[in-house]
Order: sequence, then C-alpha cells, then structure tokens
Amino acid sequence: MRRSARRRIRSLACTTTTRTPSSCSQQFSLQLDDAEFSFDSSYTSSSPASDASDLESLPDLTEDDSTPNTSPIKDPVTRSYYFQDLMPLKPISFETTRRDGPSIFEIPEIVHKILEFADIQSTVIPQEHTPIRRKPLSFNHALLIHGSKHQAELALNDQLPDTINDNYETTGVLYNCLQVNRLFKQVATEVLRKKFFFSDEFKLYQFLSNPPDIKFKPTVFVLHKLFQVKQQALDRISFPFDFSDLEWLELYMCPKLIPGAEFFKDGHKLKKLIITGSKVIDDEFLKMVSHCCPNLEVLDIRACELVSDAGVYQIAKRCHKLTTINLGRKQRGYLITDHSLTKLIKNNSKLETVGLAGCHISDKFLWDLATVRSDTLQRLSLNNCPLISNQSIPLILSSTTPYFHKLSVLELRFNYQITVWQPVIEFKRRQEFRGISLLLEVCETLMLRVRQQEMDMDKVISQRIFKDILDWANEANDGDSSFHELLSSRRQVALV
Amino acid sequence: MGDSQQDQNNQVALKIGLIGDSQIGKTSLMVKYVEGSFDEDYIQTLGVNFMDKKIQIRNTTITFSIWDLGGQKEFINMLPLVSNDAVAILFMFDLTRKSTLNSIKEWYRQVRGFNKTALPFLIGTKYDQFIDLSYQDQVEITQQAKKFGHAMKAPVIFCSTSHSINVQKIFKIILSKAFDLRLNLDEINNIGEPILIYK
Amino acid sequence: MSNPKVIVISSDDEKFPVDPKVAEKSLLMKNMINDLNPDGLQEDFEIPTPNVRANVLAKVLEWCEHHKNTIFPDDDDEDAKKSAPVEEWDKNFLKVDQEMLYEIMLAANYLNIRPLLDAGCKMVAEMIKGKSPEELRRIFNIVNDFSPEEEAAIRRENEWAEDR
Repeated sequence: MRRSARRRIRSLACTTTTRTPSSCSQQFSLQLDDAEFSFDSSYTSSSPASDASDLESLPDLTEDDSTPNTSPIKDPVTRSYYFQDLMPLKPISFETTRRDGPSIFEIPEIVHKILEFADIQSTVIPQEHTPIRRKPLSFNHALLIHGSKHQAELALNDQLPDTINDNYETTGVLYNCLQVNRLFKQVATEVLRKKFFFSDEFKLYQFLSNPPDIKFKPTVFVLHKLFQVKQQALDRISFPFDFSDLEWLELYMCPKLIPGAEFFKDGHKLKKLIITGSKVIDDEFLKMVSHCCPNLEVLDIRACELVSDAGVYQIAKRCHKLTTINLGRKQRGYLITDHSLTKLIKNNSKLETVGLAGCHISDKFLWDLATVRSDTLQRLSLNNCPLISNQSIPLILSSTTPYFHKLSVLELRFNYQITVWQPVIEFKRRQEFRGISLLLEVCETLMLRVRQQEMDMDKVISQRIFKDILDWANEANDGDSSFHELLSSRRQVALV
Repeated sequence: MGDSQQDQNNQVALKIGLIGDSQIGKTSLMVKYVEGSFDEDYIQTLGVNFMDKKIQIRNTTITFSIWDLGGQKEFINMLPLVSNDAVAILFMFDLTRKSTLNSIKEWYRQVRGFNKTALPFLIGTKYDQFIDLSYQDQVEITQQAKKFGHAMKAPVIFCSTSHSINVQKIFKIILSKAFDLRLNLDEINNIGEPILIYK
Repeated sequence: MSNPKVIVISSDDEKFPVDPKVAEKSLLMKNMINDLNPDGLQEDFEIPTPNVRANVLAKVLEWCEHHKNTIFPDDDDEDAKKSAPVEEWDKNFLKVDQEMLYEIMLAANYLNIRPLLDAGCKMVAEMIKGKSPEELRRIFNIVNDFSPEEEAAIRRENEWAEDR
C-alpha cells in the first residue's frame, strides 16, 4: 500500500517538472491531509476516487523502490514532503479549482506584506496609558471638577489600567505564523526582528536563557516596568543586536538600566527616547545622546533624578527638532532651572509639549516661553513648580496679551502660591470661543479657589446683564402708543 | 486687568408660551412684537407657531423664543411643547368675549400640570374694541380679570395689538419679573383704561 | 479616433476595453502604454494579460474604474499609512470568496497595482488573528513542510514570543 502511494506521488512529481505551470492542465483533486501522507497511516486508493483516475493515467516509473540519482526527489523517508526541493516557490496546489500557478501564500513578497499588516493590526507595544484627564484626588475634588455627585462618583471609580495591554484575541499572531510552514517562519521572523519589547520579567529571562536564532534589527526597543532587571541582562540582550534602524528607544520604569553606546550607533535615526524612573541615567548620558541624536523629537526623562541642568543644556545645544520634552520629577527639582531650559525652548521651534513638574523654573522662564513658543505650545505641565508666582501665569494669560493661544492642556497642581485665578478662568473661556477646550488640571484646594473666583466673576457678569436689562426696560420710549390718544380719538368720534 | 467682558456678548434666552382660546389674537400679538406688523385677516394657527425675537442691549443679547399654541381643541396635545421649560406663560383672553376669560381657569389648570415654575401673566386682548363696550361690561370684565389675576398671582395687562397699546410693556414686565428687577413703570388701574397691574 | 481605449485581454481571450486612465492604475500597464506609445495613444491599444482570467480581470478593472481618480499616497514605508484601515468601498468590494480574493491579489501583484494588493493583504491579515497554526494552514490551504519535531522545536525556541 505504502509503496504504491509513494510511486504514484513520485510519478506525479516527475510529470510536473516537464511542464510549465501555464500549460499544466491536470486537475489534482487529491485532498491533502497530513493523516494520509504520514507514513504511519495507510493510504487507500478509494479516497478521492473519481480523481484517482487522473493519477492513474500518468506513466508509471519502474517498479523498484530505489530512487535514481537523477531524480530530483531525495530519499522520501527523511523528508516530510517532497515538493520542497522541486519547486520551492511553486508547489502544486491540490484543489478543486482550475487555478494553476502559485498561491499567494507562496509568494514571499505577498506573505511579507500580509504579516506586516497583521503585526501592525495586532501588536501592542506596552506603553503607559495616558488618560484623558487625571483621576481626582478625592471625592470632594471630583465634586468640584464635575459639579454633580453622580459624575463625581463615576470619575472616582473609573478604573483604567495603567498600562495598555494587548487583547488576548490578538496575541500570538506572529508566534502562530512561525509554525505554519517554512516560508511563513522566514517572513514572520523578518517581521519579529523589527520590534523588541518586554513588560514581563519572567518572559525576559526566558528569552535570555534560551535566546532564539534571530538577528534582531529593531526600529522599536521597549522595556516596560522591569523593576528588578539588572544592567548585565540588558547588555547581554543588546550585544548581538543591530541597532542601525532604531527609531524608538524606551525604558519605562526600569530603574537599574542604562542603554550602552551600541544603541546609539546610528543615533541620527533615533526620534523617540523615553527613559523614566531611572536611578542611573545622568548628565554624561544626556551629553552622549546630544552628540549622537541630533534628530530627536521626543525626550521624556521623567523621574531621572540624577539629571541636572548640565545634561539638559547639552541637549539644548544640539537637539533642535524636539516636539515633546518632559523633565518632571518628584525630588531634586532644584537641579532643573532656567539655566538649561531657557536655551532649550529657544533652540526648539517646534515644541508642542513641555512637562516641567517639580522643576525650579522661575517666572521669567515662563515669560520667555510665552514670547518665543506661543505659536506651537499646546500642552504645558507646571505641577509643583515652587518658584512660579502670580507674576507669571495670571499675567501671561490675561486678555490683553496674545500668548499661548494654542494651549489645550495646562497643569498647575499644588501651586498654592498662585492665588489669582480670574485671568486663568477668562483665558479658558476665550479658548472655548476659539474652539479649544482647555483642560485645566488643578488639585483640590486650588479647584476650590478656582470655583469661588469663577462664581464671583459670574456674579459680576450677571449684575452687568441685569443693569443692562433694567436700563432698557425703564426706557420710556419703547414703541407702544399712548392709550390716551386712543381714548380721546374715540370720544371725538362719539361726540360727532 | 483688561475688561474681557467687552469682547464677549452675554446671551440670555427665555422661552415664552402663549395660551388661550382660539381667535383671541395670540398669533397677532406674537407677530406684532417680533415683526412690528398687524394683519386684520384671521388665519387659524394649526398646531404651534414659533418665533424668535432678539434684543441687543449693550453687551447682552436677549432672545425671546415665543411659542404660540393654536386655540382649537384638537391642538391640546401640543400643550406640553409650548409650556415645557417656559419661563413665562401668557394666559390670554379676548376682552370682548367673556367666555374666553372663563376658559382661563381650565387653561391654567392644564398648564400647571406641565410647568409649575413658569411665571403666569393674564393678558386681555383687543382693548381697542373693549372701550366700545358699555361701562357696565367694562367694569364686570375688569373686576373679573383682576380677581383671576389675583388668584393666579399673575400680572394683569390689557393690550391692543392693532393700536400698539401695552405690547412692548408686556415683555418688559416679563423680563423684570424673571430677573427680579425693579421696573419704574407706572401701573394703570382705572376702569376704561388698559389695565397694567404687576407690582 | 477621438478617445482611444486600452483593450485588456484576459488569459481566456476576453477583451475589456477601458479608459487609459483606468488601465494606468496598473503600473505594469502604464509603463507598457507609455513605452510603446511615446507620443501618446493614437488608437486602441491591446494589452494581453496571460496570467489573469476573465472573471478576475473584470473585478480588477472594476476596482481600477472606481479608483480612477483616487490619488494614492506614495510608496513611503510609513507605519501610519500601513495601519490605516481598509476603506469601506474596498472592504465591500473584496467581500468575495477566498479563492477570488487570492486571485485578485495575484492579479494585483502581477499587474503592479499596489493599493489593491495592500487592501487584499490587510483583509487577509485580519483573518490571521486568533488562529492556531493548524487552523491557518487549513483555511489558507497551506502545506506544512515541518516535521513534528521541527514544529515542536520552533514552539520551544520561540516561547518568549508567545504573545507577539
């Protein structure tokens, strides 16, 4: 049984070598099934009976089992499938349609496109989840923000995850493709090597202990919340990598890790650098980045408390394409001041987002920012900036000045030293007029102040309205005719 | 600090409903107030009529949205449309037909079912024809109207759309009542004169 | 001849006369037209497409006709462009049985009509989600050329990529 099966297939293979695909008009309707072709099961000629006749009609080769050296088929026992060697790109498809020629899944370029799209559709790189607005700090805070108890409760209980994580339905797409067949494995590997990211320490160690045979050439390299991972691990991982295409490097909350020089080999391609919560990133590192990465657009080094003006100054000197800069921190804010930041904002004409939480910037810096960057600035965070006062923001935002007309987010939490809020409220209302819904983030105490001053302002407006109405209403000349005239004219008529 | 109020116009919007029997002059009053014109011919209002009047006072724009309900019985189900969210309801009757004043009781009851907070006003129309009635009739109607107004806690105003008597004053009084402002307007309380009681 | 047409001929000898603008959506045909008619089209011009059957060609030309005025962004390797979802009309257009979809894609590949091929690939990519390797082979009719040992080895070696 087995022997005859082999012979039939052999003969099938031979005939196809002599014909070109377009003229091949055989109808191969043998159902391809692993079970039938595994050498453990017996092959019965009764399966796809009607089509077996086509095979039967093909000339049979010799009865003996030995394969001649000239045959392209190698020893079938060691191979799981013959056709691989025959025509690597154009195996015969056993189907009921009349199609001849390759299937799309045999054309590498097409498979590559498909898997790239699949990757884009389903791969989720672990990232910090940015909510539309910050969660309220307490119930009262929520009440002040939203106005109604119901809304306040909703806002407080809104449980959003900290990290965007993948949906189980879309996981493992490339992993599954790796196992489909050789071509798919080849292409899937090509796609896999372009992105490297981990958010799970265990999986990272799994990777390290059993490194796959893939030469990574990532455009994206992201490590997310790997608190315990040590520098040696990062060095071992990155050693064999080819970083010449790297555009996005992110070490989010990986306190012990610092990327080595190898990451910045082709640093002019790097656009996004995010390293937050690091205990090792310092001014020397920033200096190196400033030399290697002149095209940097996003720089987020929040909570990297070793970084000071010195490092930021280097960035300011050489990086002029920044759109986003975030230097926020909880401690050691005194290390970041006007000295580096003024130069930074002056040298970067496309700045849209500036995050300076906790930094010791002064009122003068804010005036500089308003004068040079009002044309691009959209988001500004000044939470906990102890040196700013009523002399900057309230005056900058007053109606007589044209500053920050593109601002859509302004964070001023915990700046209790700011007591003048009317200009901020009026600025918010002017922005509404312009079609920009300004998000003003303040903490509870300040929110109370804002609301009170808002009410005072509204009262003034209302009183103005009432005065206007009263003046109008008390105007004697309103268009009505006097009834006296009517009465006297009637009497005259009566008299007549 | 600059006066930002100059750049901004304050918007005040008020919805006003006109309720009463048919052929009283509700639509005419609305048209007269909004467009300043008066048409002798009667055209029955089918359902609800609606007009906006905008008044600009310095930096404030007042918009009166006036909703006029057809008086025929078949339009009664549109009553909620006219009375819901209204700031003021003008209960109107024809000064020359006593029956229309009697209907006010029922209209008032119906409207109250939909809107308990609207300010009621009792408006008598066609004053120019009212003065042609006998003195007795004038007394009777005036006293009855004042009684109703007192019971409804509503200002009482007699007006004439055709002769432009008290038309503008109605809306002035509405505004002053809505915002609790003190109007300088003198009341009129003599038989034969177009009653204006609101204080 | 006032408006010379391009006559596309399928593998089974069916002729499809179309506006040159429609045919030029295929870079292959566009280049042929320009190379062989350097002074512009003077008369009807026949282009045989021996790899494309009539029913498939009809669909492909229908797509070209619908998009004859669409300007597609240039061949940038921008991730943003790649992740744009398939346009509604294209999505409905490609709601055909799998075989036809693949034929259309093959034809688009042969005729070099990149946007059509991309749309097809995106739709196939959608089908990949949530399917095991075995299921993938089944629905796409792909031959497994791994031995069971090889397959197991791949699974083991790439455990780190389980959620990729």
